[in-house]
Amino acid sequence: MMDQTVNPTPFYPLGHVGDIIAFRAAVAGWLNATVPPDWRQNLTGASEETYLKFQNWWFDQLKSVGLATPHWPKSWGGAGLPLSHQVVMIEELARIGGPMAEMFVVSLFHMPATLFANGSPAQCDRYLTGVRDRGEIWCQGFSEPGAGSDLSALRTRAERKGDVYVVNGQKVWSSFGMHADFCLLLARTNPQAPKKNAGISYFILDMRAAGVTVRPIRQITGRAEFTEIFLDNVEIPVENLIGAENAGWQIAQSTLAAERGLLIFEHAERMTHALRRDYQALTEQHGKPLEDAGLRREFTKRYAELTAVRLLIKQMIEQGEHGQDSGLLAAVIKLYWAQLLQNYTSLMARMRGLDAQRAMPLSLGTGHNSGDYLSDFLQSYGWTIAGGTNEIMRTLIAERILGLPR
Amino acid sequence: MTAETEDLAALREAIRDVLSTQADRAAVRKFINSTAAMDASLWAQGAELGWFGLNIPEDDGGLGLGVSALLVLFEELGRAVAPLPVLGTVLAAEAIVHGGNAAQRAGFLPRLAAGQRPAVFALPGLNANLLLSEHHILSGDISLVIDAATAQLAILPASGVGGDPVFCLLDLSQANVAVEPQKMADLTRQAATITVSDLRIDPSAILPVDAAAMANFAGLLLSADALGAAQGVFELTVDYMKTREQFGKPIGSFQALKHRAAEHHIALVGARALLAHTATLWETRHPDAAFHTALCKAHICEVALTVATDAVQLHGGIGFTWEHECHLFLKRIYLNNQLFGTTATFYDTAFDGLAESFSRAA
Ligand SMILES: Cc1cc2nc3c(=O)[nH]c(=O)nc-3n(C[C@H](O)[C@H](O)[C@H](O)COP(=O)(O)OP(=O)(O)OC[C@H]3O[C@@H](n4cnc5c(N)ncnc54)[C@H](O)[C@@H]3O)c2cc1C
Repeated sequence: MMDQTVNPTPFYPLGHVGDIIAFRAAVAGWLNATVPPDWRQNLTGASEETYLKFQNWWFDQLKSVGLATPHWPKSWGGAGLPLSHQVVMIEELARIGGPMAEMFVVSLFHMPATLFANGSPAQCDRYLTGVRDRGEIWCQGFSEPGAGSDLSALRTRAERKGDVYVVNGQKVWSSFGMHADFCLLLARTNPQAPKKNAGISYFILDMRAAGVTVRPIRQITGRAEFTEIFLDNVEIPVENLIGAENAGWQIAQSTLAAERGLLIFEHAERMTHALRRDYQALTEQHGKPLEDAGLRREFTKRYAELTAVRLLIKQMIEQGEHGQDSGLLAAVIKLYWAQLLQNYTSLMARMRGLDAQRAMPLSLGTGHNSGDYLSDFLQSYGWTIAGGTNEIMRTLIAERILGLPR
Repeated sequence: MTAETEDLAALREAIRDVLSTQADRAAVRKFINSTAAMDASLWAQGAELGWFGLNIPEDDGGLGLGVSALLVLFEELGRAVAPLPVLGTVLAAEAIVHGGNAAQRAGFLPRLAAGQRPAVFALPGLNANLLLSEHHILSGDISLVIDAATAQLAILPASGVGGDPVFCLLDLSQANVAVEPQKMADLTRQAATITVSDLRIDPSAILPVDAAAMANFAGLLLSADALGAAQGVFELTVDYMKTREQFGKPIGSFQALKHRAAEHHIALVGARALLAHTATLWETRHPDAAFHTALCKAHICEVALTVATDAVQLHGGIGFTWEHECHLFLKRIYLNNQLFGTTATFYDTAFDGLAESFSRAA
């Protein structure tokens, strides 16, 4: 079933742009005809190879109807889909509990956000096309053993030698690095710069270049989703420098901004449906709705927070539609969401009692509602640590929004 | 942060404007140090501006601006910790709008709207010991009726024949009724014990009242008041963190404190979104409005209490003084938490409503 590459479906959502109701119906129809009902089971206990195959298959399906890159502008081969339609698409995807193209997150969000703003026409042409037409996979090589929250302390060195930069150093925690074709790489080009963040440049790294070694790192869930990347005299052609030399720090901000926004919207929509399923399952399990008053009230509190964060996300989307900068609201949402996700998944694990404590077969790519409640909880650290830890977000909110002194 | 309609924003500004002079720090302080049961000039000002009738239909002498307008008023009152016993009057009006006959509507609502008859409303509870006999004779007492110290009209719960709860509309200035003011820990509001001895209640003065709906409505107003108060005390606190210096720098530069402030900020932003959304559900008579209201009362009052509790701590010794206004906010929010049901009971109500909404959607 997963090997089916062509899906002769009569649904073509992009034929209904402008008519939001028809668009929604077409998306729903297409999803129903396309998403295998047993995809979650098939990925439980599956091999990394099966997972990889499934992710590629899913990307191809989306691509075949133009829904892989609908948010890209038309000039870059996207569908230029209005935000309102993207919202509908995500809502429908969440409603049927379809797969996430999680291996393609950097390809679909971080890389294009970076190139739209800073890439040369040639870079855009080559790499956007690569994702759109060939499903190329990207990873992000920012963090290093000595540079996490303090990213500007990074030490990977890039030295210009003729037509190439020669790069040496080590990156860590790069998600999907073992499957990636390319990497968004930050490296130091000027170690003498007066400020640490002034001497950093931004590169496109070909993961197959000589001198690149990738090693998976096993995570607390048991899965090896992220990697360390060793760079040993790797040559990067000068045309793969994004923007100007030593301007990498600024450019990296546009990459990081891509992590917020629609991505959290998708997760929050999924949680909304998961919460309802969880409620029903727990009610069946106990014969009546959540008997324990403490847990029941905690559940209701989490529902209040989920409602609140969805409203904030809607506000952010509206601001985006009006071309307003919603960076500070995005920071609030990121922190709010990370804590809510952790609290909710932890509550679910507790509500399942001892049952949730048994070791379960790894479930790959099923997001935060895999059915393995403890694992869902463990996964939530992805949000509380990555993309600015909760602590870093709190400092940012205190200083930038509340104006507290540094 | 929520985009507010222009009308509501204008209303908010107008109310804030009045409160910034009529209920500024000095005015609030003056009221607290006085023996007055209410700030008569603030009441008169509110009456003139139509505050008491914001949500009373125009046909009944109000402004008919809806629940959202009322929520703006309560939020601003909370923010200023304004000593205005408006809750009782607004609740009584709501009960009459829904349960009063034509004569009662015509007789009472325009005067309630105009602030000419301060009123109160209470729900059955441990503090309520009123009995209505089969001959419609009311007697007993009810304590801790909020805003009752200055009220002239009341809608009170009594046990009817067979123990069924009934609601009686009565004039408090009659001979058989005694009102004994009760000071509260919250210095900005007062309550009273109302004792009734053998008062005959006309059958038409027994109002059909949906107690659960009234608890919810009260909860909504109290959430707005709590949110405003929490916002007020949080702003004070952030300002203080910028100016108070220890160890040679502003205490707001200490990360432990910064992080707490950031947590309070996001909780308040979330609470505000929830309240604004709930107001919209009310305006559109959405079936989920009721349980979202319970959610607001439970969640917003809880968030507000966390913020206000920490506000005193973040002020240090000065925050522990009677002179400083921190405790006015803390006590007001605390009372809001306990009025018309606790956080726990409102979470339970919300849960039941959520479960119902799930089965409706299924
Ligand atoms: C699931 C996952 C996926 C990831 N994927 C990628 C990826 O694809 N590419 C990539 O480049 N990186 C990735 N990361 C790395 C991530 O961005 C870093 O882990 C993160 O920036 C934190 O850095 P660190 O791990 O070095 O922790 P540290 O910065 O060492 O932090 C340790 C602790 O100290 C706290 N701390 C640090 N500095 C401060 C401060 N100034 N004030 C207060 N507290 C502080 C932190 O909040 C944290 O609690 C991923 C991480 C995770 C968990």
